[in-house]
Amino acid sequence: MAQDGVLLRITGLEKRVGGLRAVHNVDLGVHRGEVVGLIGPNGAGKTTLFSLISGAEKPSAGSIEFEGRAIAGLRPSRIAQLGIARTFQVVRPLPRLTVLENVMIGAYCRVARKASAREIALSWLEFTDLVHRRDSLARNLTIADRKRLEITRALATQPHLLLLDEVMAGLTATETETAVELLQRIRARGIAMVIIEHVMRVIMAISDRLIVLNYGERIAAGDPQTVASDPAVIRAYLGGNPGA
Amino acid sequence: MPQERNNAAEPERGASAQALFGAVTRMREFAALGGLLAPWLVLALLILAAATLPFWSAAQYRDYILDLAILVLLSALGGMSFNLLGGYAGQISFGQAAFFGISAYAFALLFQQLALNPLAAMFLAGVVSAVVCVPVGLILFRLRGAYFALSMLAFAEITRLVAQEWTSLTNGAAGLLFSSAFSDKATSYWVLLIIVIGSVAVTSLLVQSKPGAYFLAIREDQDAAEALGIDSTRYKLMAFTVSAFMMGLAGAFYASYFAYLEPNVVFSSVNFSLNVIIVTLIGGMGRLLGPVIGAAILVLTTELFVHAFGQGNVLMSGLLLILFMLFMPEGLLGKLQKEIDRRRSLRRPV
Repeated sequence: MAQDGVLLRITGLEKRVGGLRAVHNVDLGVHRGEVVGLIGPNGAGKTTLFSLISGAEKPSAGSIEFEGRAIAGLRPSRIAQLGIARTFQVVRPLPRLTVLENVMIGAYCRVARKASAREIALSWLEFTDLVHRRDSLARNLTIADRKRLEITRALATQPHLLLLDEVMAGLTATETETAVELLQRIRARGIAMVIIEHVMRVIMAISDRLIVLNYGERIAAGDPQTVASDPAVIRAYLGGNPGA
Repeated sequence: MPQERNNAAEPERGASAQALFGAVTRMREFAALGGLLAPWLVLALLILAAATLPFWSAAQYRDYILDLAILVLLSALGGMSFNLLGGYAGQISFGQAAFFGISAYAFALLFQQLALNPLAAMFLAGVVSAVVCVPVGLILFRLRGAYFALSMLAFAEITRLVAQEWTSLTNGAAGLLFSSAFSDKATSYWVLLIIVIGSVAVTSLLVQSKPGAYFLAIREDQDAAEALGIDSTRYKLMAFTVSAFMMGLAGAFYASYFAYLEPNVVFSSVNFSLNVIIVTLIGGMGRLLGPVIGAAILVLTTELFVHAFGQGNVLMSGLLLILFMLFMPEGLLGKLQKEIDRRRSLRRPV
């Protein structure tokens, strides 16, 4: 592995919850500007992995390095300041604030002045096509717009790495198309992403590399086509004789 | 809207309509400027009226009016302390009385024992509460919501008991009697008025800037706020410190004015912890002037009820509060804002 160009390096990551190993001995590397798809059956530990990277939960063992700095166990706000932004699987808009205020709060991560935060927020709202809803309260948005707001707010913190947790779930076919197009534009900006997604068509189209988790362990990794035809992956999704 | 109609007729009427249109535009600009300046003008007039109150209030009622005005301002100050922490940062505290009491005693000691200038003593007494709140916050902010609120209630009770038992410092339950700080009511009133106006100004600046946005984010969703790079402990502590300082100023002023302190009075949860919540709820949580409006309503209606119903006044105040909670759970200013928003959205063309 080339030392330069590696943005995030996870080695031997472990998270035990009671007797259960939610994440077990996971290795993962993300390069600058790379898009990594994270898939696996329900309960495989995908969201837990995000929580560990973003600092919402503390790992039991293993290391997480971001831009060469050990970040495991730092508090979430510190990790966000260092340049990792996440979205939540169940969206968490700041409900009684407007769309613009929501995004400005993300922008304040890098600037102190209100006018600058506003300017940054508006330009990202422009980027994600949400600017027409800027004065709506976040709680009044449709689910698709809420997911979009969540992404915009995360982008406003100017991350180098974006962790997207099922941003397509619950969207209609057209909404999914627009969302994929948005992800392509984010990639074009050179922002690396790790994407948890169940819609395989989407994840295959957008990922440079796929990582498959099952029961907290990494069972496959590589380019999307190879991984998708890997017998272990098919078994994990469809079941079957482990020996076969 | 008559202006709207003039506007629509404009294309058919040619030159005269053009002139009319110009006039309407100028009128609109003027009205917009007026709309921009109006709140400031009203505010300036209110401050002027409040500042000159001792001069224009009828001589035979002057002391009575000033007493009432001081009560309103004191409640307003306490309410603003609660509002910054609870209304903006979302950290509801049931124990603001702790800072009221601590600073009241701190003032008494600084003013009486160290013979400090009363204004300096008041400021330092506020600082004492602001300092005390830091370790308290570092421990209690691990708790959220109702658990934080209740632990603050417990903290206030602890401070009350300490004040009661630490007789060498506070003279215990017998109370502490000293000479009042300011020679007359009007001076006291002006001192308090300046403190309240200063607190409104500081709160206003704070909530309109980055910390204010962060307070709201923490109130709305602490975990989402953290994920956006907000060190929630640090910003909660910031709100707490300013809040404790304001509550401390209220307590110190109380001490300077009444010149008699008793632990069961100045650490009283009902008198202060509860009162500051009620005035904020009536006026509007998370509204800059909510506590000021709420304090005026609560103090003046209570006074009215005392005259009208005697002992029954508590019942009537309770009834009033219930009515407020039923019909305006967002407080008077919250309701007003909602109404303005509703009308604005009705007027907006679709």
